[in-house]
Amino acid sequence: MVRRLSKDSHTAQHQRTRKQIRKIQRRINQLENRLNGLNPIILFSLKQNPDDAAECKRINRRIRKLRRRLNQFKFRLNALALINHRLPPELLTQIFSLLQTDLQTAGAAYYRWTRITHVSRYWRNLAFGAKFLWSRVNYATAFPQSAWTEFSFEHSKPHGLDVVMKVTSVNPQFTLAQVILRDMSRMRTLQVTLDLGTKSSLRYLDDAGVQRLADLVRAFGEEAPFLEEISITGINLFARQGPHQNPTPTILFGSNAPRLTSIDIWNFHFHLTSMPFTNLTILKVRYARNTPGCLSFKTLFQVLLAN
Amino acid sequence: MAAPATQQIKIRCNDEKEFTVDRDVLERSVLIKNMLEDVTEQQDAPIPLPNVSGPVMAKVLEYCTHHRGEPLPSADTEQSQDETRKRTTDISEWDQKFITVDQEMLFEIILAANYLDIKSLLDVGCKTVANMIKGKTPEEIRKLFNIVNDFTPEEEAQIKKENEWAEDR
Repeated sequence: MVRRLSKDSHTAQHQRTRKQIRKIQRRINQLENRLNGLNPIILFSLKQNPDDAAECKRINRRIRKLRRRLNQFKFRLNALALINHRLPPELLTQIFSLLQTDLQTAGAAYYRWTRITHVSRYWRNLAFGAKFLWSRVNYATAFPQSAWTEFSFEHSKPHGLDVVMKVTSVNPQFTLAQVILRDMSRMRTLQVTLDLGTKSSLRYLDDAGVQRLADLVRAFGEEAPFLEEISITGINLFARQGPHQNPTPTILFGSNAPRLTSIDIWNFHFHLTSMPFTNLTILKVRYARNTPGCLSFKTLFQVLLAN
Repeated sequence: MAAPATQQIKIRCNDEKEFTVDRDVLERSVLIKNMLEDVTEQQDAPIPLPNVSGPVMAKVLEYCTHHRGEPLPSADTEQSQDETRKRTTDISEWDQKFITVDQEMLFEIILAANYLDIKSLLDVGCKTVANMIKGKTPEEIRKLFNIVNDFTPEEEAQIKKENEWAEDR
């Protein structure tokens, strides 16, 4: 943040800045007292004294100017705070990243990591400047903090995305989820959970809701050149046979996911033949039913072994 | 060919303080390891470390001695990035006790670890700072690190709005 100073000059500069802050603060207090002395006159006099009004205006202008100056000195003082003075920006952002990682599984509390952007202007600028911090996008219908999610998604551009998406409500509106999934070209890791509770709750899922879910899943047909890991936990609806079965695209990731090394599918139906297996090292398929016209698991394993 | 583990190496800190240390302990530092590999002949002159003071180096050596013989983290960049995405703020008991120092020493250890390229020590230092911040409000964080609120009224208004985003659950 600033050139590293020797201990003595650091202390001296710290004291000088503090002194300046106290001086400005005293001046602001004096001006505010003066203003308070003038205000009652303005409020209660039927005919306002033009001189007093002008004086009020002048003092207010001066206070605003001093406050701006005060903020500048406070910013300088923060630059001298030990943590900012000693640690280079890249290490501070690394620390911010650790705080974020720790909250990754905290559900609704995930965006609590953004508290660090409310500490000081320097920390805020640092966090907003580090695109990688915003590349983790958490979306859940149970806590639609769409403002932070949307900010994170937009602010991280063009950095790669690590998305955790949890749809737990029946008939949700997820325009933002669709927007995020459509940006498959930036996706690095993707974890989608469609957990709509018990089978009975699925009865409340109307046709429009099914359509919205199917639209969401259709994003898996987009090319994903940077995707490394994908984990999808589905609902019975998409694993069973019937009118809603198999909403997934026939060609997964447009056959372009060269970095994909891990696929984990649970309770979902995919056209297994469409999977990009080139660099795959982990394949977990649980409760993914085999429907007519689709590759059998036996054949799949034979294909995998042949590759 | 790897040098014998008992070989002693001299280092000199920026305050002229010198240490004579077993080579395998010093080789926890990738910077020193590379330096030693580049030197073909036996040298008696101490290795100068202009960015580290004696007291900080003593702490760093305490750490390196405790962790001697443990495998060094991979230098593979892609893997390191992946690790960054997945790691947590857990610290082992010994490391926790070791890093229980005042803020000034903590930051100096972090800086030294960064300079000497001792990834595991850098991790311990950063995790410790992260744990100090964890669960605290911005005001508590300011108090902890002697930071003052320097936001302008406009920024304060934006922050208030962002706080409402976070409460929107």
